[in-house]
Amino acid sequence: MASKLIFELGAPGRQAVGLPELDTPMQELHELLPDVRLRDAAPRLPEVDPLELVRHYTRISVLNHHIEKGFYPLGSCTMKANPPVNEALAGLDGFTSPHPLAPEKLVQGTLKLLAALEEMLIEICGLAAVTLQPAAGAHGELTGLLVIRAYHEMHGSPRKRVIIPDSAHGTNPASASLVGYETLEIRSTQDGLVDIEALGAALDEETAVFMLTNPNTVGLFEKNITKIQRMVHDVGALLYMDGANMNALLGITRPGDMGFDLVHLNLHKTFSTPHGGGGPGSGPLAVSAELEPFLPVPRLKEAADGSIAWDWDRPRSIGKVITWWGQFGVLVRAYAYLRALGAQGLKEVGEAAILNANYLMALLSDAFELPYQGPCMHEFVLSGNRQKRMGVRTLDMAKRLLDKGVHAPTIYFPLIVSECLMIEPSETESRQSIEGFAEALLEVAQEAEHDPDLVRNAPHTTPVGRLDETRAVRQLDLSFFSGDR
Amino acid sequence: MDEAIRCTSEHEWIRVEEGLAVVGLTDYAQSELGDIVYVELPEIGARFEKGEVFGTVESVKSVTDLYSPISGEIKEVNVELEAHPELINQDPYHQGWVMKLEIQDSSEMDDLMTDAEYEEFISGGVEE
Amino acid sequence: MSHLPLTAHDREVMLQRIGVGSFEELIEPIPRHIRQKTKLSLPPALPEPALIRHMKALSAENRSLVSFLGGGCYEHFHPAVVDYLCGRPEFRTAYTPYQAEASQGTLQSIYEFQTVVVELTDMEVANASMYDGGSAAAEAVLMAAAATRRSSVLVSQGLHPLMRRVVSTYTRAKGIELIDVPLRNGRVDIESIDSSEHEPAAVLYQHPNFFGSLEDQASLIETAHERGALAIAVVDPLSLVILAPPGAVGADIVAAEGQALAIPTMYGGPGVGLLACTEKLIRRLPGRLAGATVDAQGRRGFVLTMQAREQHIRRHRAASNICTNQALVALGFLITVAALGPQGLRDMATQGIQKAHYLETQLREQGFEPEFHGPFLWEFTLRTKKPAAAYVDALLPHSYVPGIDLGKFDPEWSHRLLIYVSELRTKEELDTMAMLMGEVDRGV
Repeated sequence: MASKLIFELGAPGRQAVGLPELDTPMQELHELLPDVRLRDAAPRLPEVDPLELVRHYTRISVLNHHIEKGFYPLGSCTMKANPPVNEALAGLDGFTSPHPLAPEKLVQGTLKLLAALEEMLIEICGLAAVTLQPAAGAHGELTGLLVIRAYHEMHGSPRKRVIIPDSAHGTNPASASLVGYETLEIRSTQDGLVDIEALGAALDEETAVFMLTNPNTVGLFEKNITKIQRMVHDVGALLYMDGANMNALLGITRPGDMGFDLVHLNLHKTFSTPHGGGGPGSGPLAVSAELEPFLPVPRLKEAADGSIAWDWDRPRSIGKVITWWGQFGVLVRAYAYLRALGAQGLKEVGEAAILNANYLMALLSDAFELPYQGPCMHEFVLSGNRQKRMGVRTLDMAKRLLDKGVHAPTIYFPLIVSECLMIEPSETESRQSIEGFAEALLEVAQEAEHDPDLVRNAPHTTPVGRLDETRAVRQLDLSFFSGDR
Repeated sequence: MDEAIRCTSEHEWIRVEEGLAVVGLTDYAQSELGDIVYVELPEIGARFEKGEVFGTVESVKSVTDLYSPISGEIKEVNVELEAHPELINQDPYHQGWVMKLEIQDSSEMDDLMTDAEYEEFISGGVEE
Repeated sequence: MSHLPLTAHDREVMLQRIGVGSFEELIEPIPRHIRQKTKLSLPPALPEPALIRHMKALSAENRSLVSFLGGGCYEHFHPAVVDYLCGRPEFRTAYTPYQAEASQGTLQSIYEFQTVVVELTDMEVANASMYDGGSAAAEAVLMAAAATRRSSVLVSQGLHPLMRRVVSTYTRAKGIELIDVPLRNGRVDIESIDSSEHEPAAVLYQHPNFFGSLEDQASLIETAHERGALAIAVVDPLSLVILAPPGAVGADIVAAEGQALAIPTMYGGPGVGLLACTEKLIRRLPGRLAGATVDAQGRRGFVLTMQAREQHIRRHRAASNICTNQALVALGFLITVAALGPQGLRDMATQGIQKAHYLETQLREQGFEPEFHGPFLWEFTLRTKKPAAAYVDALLPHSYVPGIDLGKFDPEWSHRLLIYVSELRTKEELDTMAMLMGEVDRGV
């Protein structure tokens, strides 16, 4: 049974929650708002009773797969456990109630937390400064590229080009375009790494930045990073790290020590804040001292009396990227995570993430084509080419996995691997849980061989079967009443 | 396939009809792309050089550029595709045509593949 | 105790299966000279009881007062059921609905959210949400520039100054020029749009504007269209249950901050950006879209749709680089609207209007004058005899924050106090506030 929409429930006149009586004198609206054009047709909004409201959202919620239900090996998404205590801490009234324009002396707790979080992220990145304002990873990239542009402009010319490897996240070239740069894509080597020769040929005085994910999106550490950073810096370009895969490096190495000039972090990946069905995330940007003057306004600073205040006097700043100061509700969870773990705890995270991924790769490597030999870092890619030859595509296998109570890996990314499965188990999964997932995927591989239709028609046990995505585009239906307009 | 058509390595076909060059997407290309859901058509009167991008087609999970097989000015576009992009899937060589060009230099056609050559090209395991 | 599940025995079994002698071999590709030699210098780890103590102490350093702060971030009654449902792990710990069949809860909630936004704004299409109102407004400007192939935009000086900075940051590198449209008596001077020498891609205005004044929206849009420009409205979603919605008077794009109906003020984040447009502009609309479709058995289900517009497919030609939405906050918006229903929202809006006008009357009785004389809803700008900062400072010891000292945004506005009246403020608080304000003038 397909679930109903909230608009298909309830009845006119029902209301789940009401407001108290007005305690000031009531005046006629048209007297208070003379000559103002008011709404004539009321919006068609839900009218439901309290139990109906709770039931509806409870019912649809359970249609989701989620990390607290089962394995969630989305590559490059770092679906790690979200510590429950952090939910309670982020909900403390002292954190939820401040207004962004409250006088600074009233919000010292919040400002101290933000300053301390900046300090911890600076240390983790091995760079000089951090802005907490970007709202997501892609937003951190945008901020970073604006900083890069401002930096080059100050040195005479914004330059023209952003270089990315062909394994890069789609946000990299999209962010580059948003900032007015051309994108030049360079091929990866057979081994899945940056092709040094291709990079050398691409780099010139018009290169603004080389954007690199490290470990890269096939799960390998760019072992030539020192050479790469020298080549990039030799032409006066900057080196940007897409920090989506930072989980692997915690406590092992730092972007600054590798020669990166800037890096964005994904707090919802590496630092355990809940993904929320797609957001809110947070994408702080760490930069070298040279780039610090360009960061968004305002910046935190410590006053002479030890109190923390906002500094707006930043003449070289790129400006603002969101209205307020960052996704505070996400930042407070990441802060709590870091305070709970400390340096030793973080180091264990990086090591366990790598060990888990290599173990899972070992369990799967006989049944699937392995485009790149290990060791991998925190994630790895498989190719479904062998199964494709039997008429079963990676998409089919992904859908079949859903029947087995686990989520599918990231599929068809990166683009350089055909029929790609990109798998990241994260450090918070136990050995048994990893073995359970491996067993599920190996079963699917068996089924692909012996009962391909079972896989091709999957999923069979989910709330709905495979959905018609073509129809969704050809007969667009994006809101419930749109047919009645 | 059709004797009169020529194809590009980017999987467009071209056929001369009543003095204009009709351009579309090959059957192989449409089957590789899957269900086509949107076609971005060029404007009538726009000029394109040989090899220049004149439009895009979208399937559910991909977007592909359309390259002009020869140089010329656009005289007609298939507006039917705006409402029915699936015509490219259903009938790529006739109802699914995309645009018509005024031929500027007919020798440009000579560089293109015959349908037999194109068949060989796609069976040579060339992946999209 | 380790916070992670792997035991020493697990490690041994795993390393053996991988076929290496030690963990060190796995990180061989990381050159030694860039490895971390010493431990990171971070504060010591806190066990849970100590962490809770620490966080409580930190949060207690914030002081919560009777607040009249608004300016784009609004305190409202936040029904308990909203956090109760948004806190469900099924919503909170899921990711982006990449596999639709295992993400129907999130996808259906996005579809319902889009429907609510369409209904409130009376626009034809709404997306799954943007980061916040400022980035939504910025993306709206990029949409308009791409659609009209023009590169200047007329921006009302009644637009929130911080939103304007976001728009400016997003558009500068694209070569889009922002031209200020002045206000007259706190409202857009429509004449100056008419006489502008530019060929604008859009006219960007806020209604009610930053100072609380209501614009003549219909005339503004008409004038924009006469100039061949798109009309971009920035609105307060709650106002849409009272005021004619932008879609009804011809707006092309609507951007809004949805925080007020979704989540507590939270020091400004997260919020949720609403973005809606006409059907004509749909291919320029950035961000995710959930659409209804069916499965093989004809059952209704929801998917992310029109994805070929987005960065993971279109890469450098994508309309935007956004690859998420504010799903959980958008859900909060949806549930707040569903909990209050049309009547509750109308009551909330009406009470805000009544109380703001009551307070304004009380302040007039204390000798204050409003800065502008046009109509307003729940927020208005007060002209002050002393610098506005003086009133803020004077009321703090009484545990009141009387509003935003606009001098913080522009020195020329140093004698303006922007006052927001939530429906949560009681008559007693309003009376006290007006009296305390009057005492500042009288030097009591």
